[in-house]
Amino acid sequence: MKKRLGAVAVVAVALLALAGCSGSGSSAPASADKDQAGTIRVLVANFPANNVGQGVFDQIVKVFHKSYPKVKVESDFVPYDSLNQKISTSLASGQNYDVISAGIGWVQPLADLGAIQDLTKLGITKGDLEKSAYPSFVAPMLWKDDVYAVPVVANPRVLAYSKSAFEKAGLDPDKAPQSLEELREDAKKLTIRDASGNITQTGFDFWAPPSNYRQQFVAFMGALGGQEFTGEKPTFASKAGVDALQLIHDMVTVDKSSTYGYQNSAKTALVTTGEAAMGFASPYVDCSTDQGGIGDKCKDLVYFNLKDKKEVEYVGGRVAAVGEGSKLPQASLAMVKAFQDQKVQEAISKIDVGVPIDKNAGDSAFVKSNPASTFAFKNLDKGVFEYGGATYLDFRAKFGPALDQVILGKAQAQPTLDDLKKVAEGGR
Amino acid sequence: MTSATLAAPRRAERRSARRGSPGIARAKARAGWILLVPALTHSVIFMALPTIIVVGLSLTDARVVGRGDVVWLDNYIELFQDQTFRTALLNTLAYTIVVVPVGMAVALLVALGLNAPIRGRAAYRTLFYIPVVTSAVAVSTVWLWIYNPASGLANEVLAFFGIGRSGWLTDPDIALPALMVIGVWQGLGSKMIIYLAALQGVSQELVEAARLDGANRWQIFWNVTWPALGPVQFFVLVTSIAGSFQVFDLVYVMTQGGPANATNVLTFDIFTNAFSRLQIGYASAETVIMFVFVGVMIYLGRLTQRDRKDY
Repeated sequence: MKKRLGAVAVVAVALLALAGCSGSGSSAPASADKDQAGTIRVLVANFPANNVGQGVFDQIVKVFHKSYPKVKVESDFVPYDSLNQKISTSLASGQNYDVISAGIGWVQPLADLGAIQDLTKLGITKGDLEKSAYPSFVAPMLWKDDVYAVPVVANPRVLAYSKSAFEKAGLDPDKAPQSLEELREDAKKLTIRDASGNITQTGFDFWAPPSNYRQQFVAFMGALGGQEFTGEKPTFASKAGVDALQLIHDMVTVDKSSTYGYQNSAKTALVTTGEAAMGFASPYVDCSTDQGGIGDKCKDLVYFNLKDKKEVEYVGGRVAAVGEGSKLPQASLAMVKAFQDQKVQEAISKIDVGVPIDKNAGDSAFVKSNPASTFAFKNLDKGVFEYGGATYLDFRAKFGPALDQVILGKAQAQPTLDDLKKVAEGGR
Repeated sequence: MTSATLAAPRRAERRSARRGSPGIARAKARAGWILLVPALTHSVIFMALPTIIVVGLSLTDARVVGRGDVVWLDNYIELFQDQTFRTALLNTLAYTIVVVPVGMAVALLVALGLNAPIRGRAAYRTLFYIPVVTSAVAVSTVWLWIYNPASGLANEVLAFFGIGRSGWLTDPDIALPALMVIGVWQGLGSKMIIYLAALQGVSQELVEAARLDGANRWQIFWNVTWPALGPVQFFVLVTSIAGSFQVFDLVYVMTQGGPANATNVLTFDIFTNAFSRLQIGYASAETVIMFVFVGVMIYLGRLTQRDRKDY
């Protein structure tokens, strides 16, 4: 029989308090007037802790202060690796953040955990989201049919190939591979090796370090008509999932047209730098001849979607949400809305290497500034996502290493996905 | 005179001292406690209390500290059915079994070399000790470059001998041994210093006597030096086992437990369960098991010292 372990909770919270956890200092009652005073604490994932990150955050605060000029804002920038640690300790100490900006996959687990609050009660409706963002972004913001977060920036992973590499390999440079089978065959032809057998031109770059083939798997599975979750129900252990995972295994381990886990020192997409003939790439490419720009190489790159059974583009993204227990919920909501300001979205897009999520951003100078952003934005309506239910974070930690087992030939696709399905359903 | 007859007057003296100056004895005891209070307070708050809390949490299904229901031993039962945990445990044991003895042997060899009157001895000692005072993250970053599959030093060396490139940290069969190499290198300095101090305490009279008896260098080492290192060996063994079970930063920076869990060790798995999966109760149970394993390993190490005589 289960019992609350209240004593442990009290001792743990006392211990954390002794360890010096600071409070938010929020004291004023919630209201929406300009005389509202107090402090809100904002946890932001993936903002660099340097002048660039601080500059973008100051821009957000500036927008926020138009509504709440007297409310102070304290920021906490963390890498995604430390995000859960921050949330976990803040909840344990009873000092939850007022605003949390994290990835799409965090919405439902954090809602279930009681770390973020129902925005419907603060006046944000599903209809509001549908008006401002692409329809595919609405479902990941919901938990039990209520809105718990708003989308801020999309992080698509686009596919690209080099026209010149296609020509050299005897492939038609105007014909992108359509099916996954075509992709595999083209990748084999595009792979170049030296006399020792070492790859000098990767046929297809997954642009993934070890244990991080999740997004690529979701993209391939999506092209085969499958999806990771349907609502909260895991649906990846399907034929589409097995075929997608098997294909990645075949390309990496059998054909060796892609080197497992390989990244260049700058961790940029190999197809963009010319080290690979084809592969996943960022939705932003610098076509200038400045340092970091690829200049004329831009003209050599063609962006495309897989259209096997369904045309898809993998999309991740950033959201913003109000923390549960915030003493200034309306001010926190205003901060969340400040994240959605169009100029702010563009500034965050530079940090996140993404594109704004606002439906009207297609005509913006930012989206039109380079072919990758233009292509990625144009295809947001074809987005397939990686998220799913309360156990998503639990499942996510096991997902990458388990996929690796199959990719490296240490396990079979179907049983591996079946085991992962059990984890997604709440098992270990 | 027997030991019993010797002990009796000593006991009488102690009784007499206690009777004669109880105030001084109490003052000494009080001073002892006062001096102990800061360390004791620290130990209770930051070691004993968290240990008790971890044991308590391990019996719950808490996702965050303070929010969970009691599930008694369910976490422990599930842990032993968890393939990832079993892999992490085996990886940790393999890491310990290789890094501890190899590290000790290499450190002893280096210490023996640096104990000899060679030119530039102080400089060598400093060089060998540098990894100890360098941050593990910095060390890991340097090794990341060494193991870089495209431009790393390790593959350049292989290429020099005509051997093909290796994915040091991306090949599941090589990644853990690659980390073991760093583990041995990283722990070399601290072990070497301890051995060096112990070697300088070896009785020169015994060494000289052995030499006069016609013993060669190996016989002197095995029959004089090696036995004299006994207590130090045990200290190095215990601290090395505890250290290797706690290897975390190396894995966190270099491999994140990958590829395919090939370098997932207990501490990293605990971290993943606690802060990536938000399963604090489960992670606490894993911590308790790790604690037990460290205890068992140290006990086994102690058994190897049972028959050793101190010289």
